[in-house]
Amino acid sequence: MRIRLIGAAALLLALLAPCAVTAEEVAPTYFGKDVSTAKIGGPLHMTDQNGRRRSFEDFRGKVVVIFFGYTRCPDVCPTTLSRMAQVMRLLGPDAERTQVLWVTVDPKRDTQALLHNFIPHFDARFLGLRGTLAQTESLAKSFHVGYQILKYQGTFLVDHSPEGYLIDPAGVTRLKLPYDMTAEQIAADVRTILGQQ
Amino acid sequence: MNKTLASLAMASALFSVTFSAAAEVTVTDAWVRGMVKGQTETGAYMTIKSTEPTKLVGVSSPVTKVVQLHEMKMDGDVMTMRPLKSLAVPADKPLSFGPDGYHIMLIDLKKPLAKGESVPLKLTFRSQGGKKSSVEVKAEVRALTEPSAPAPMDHAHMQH
Repeated sequence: MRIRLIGAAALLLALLAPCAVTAEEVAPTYFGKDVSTAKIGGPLHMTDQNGRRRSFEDFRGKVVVIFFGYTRCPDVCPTTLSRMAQVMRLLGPDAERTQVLWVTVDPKRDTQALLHNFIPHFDARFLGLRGTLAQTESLAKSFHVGYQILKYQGTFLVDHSPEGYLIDPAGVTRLKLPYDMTAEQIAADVRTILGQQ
Repeated sequence: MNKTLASLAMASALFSVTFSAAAEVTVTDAWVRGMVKGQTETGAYMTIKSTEPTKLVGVSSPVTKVVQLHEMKMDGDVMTMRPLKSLAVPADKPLSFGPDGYHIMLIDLKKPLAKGESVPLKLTFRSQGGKKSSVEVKAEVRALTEPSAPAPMDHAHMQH
């Protein structure tokens, strides 16, 4: 009886296996979280570290990886930017079709001049973006990125969401990139999305 | 004479016993993140090890008057930063600062610290018995781009 059951289970698996393989081929796998249908991300109206006005339309045809941060952030932001510099190196020629954007959540203290000094240290191709308080708030909200700035004994404590988002070359936000993703995983996801175009 | 020697030996034996019972705190791999022009704050990192449970109760440095101990925590999707008054160091378990926990903030620096410079830091500890001791280290200033910890490798997760 038991043997027969196992036999039946094996037969069932053998029948199902080809379907599973087909499904695997159809649905792409990502290291990041697929948010393609969540309609994440609003319009971008900000200035980069060189003083140029930027919108998402400037980057059509490229994969955009966007993060939020602040320059006085001691760990997470430099680590994220260093990791993205490594992603660019891993991408090789595909890096030309990839744009990293880093939006300050603290435009009061992160001046354009400071962003100009800070951002190219990681990679000269990265753009540091700065908007008004209202523009910052509405862009962060559209990406479900939370932040707040608290004044404390001569400094400002900033809370913020460290994850990034990947936007495809058509301008659709496709993946959420959690903070613990490695450079290899992010590069793999960028390549997967670029390969779909 | 013999008596004196014997009592000396006894005294030194007593002394070494007392000495080994006091917390011995070592601080290794102390470094500070390099800065660019326009920045006024940066983080300092290190590994603290103590033979006895103790508490880090203060940090000071000649480079600035404002030095704070901060703790980072994930609150849902948001990474929060909060000042700490003290930080418990367990016995014989190295406590490493880094992106998942603690760091020291050097605030209101008058000029940016550049890679290759050295920053003196004085760490004050208070033992369980209430005794204060301090450790002085020279933290090396590393590149702005220095990752705070090795990139996480064991979190591979594929999602459909």
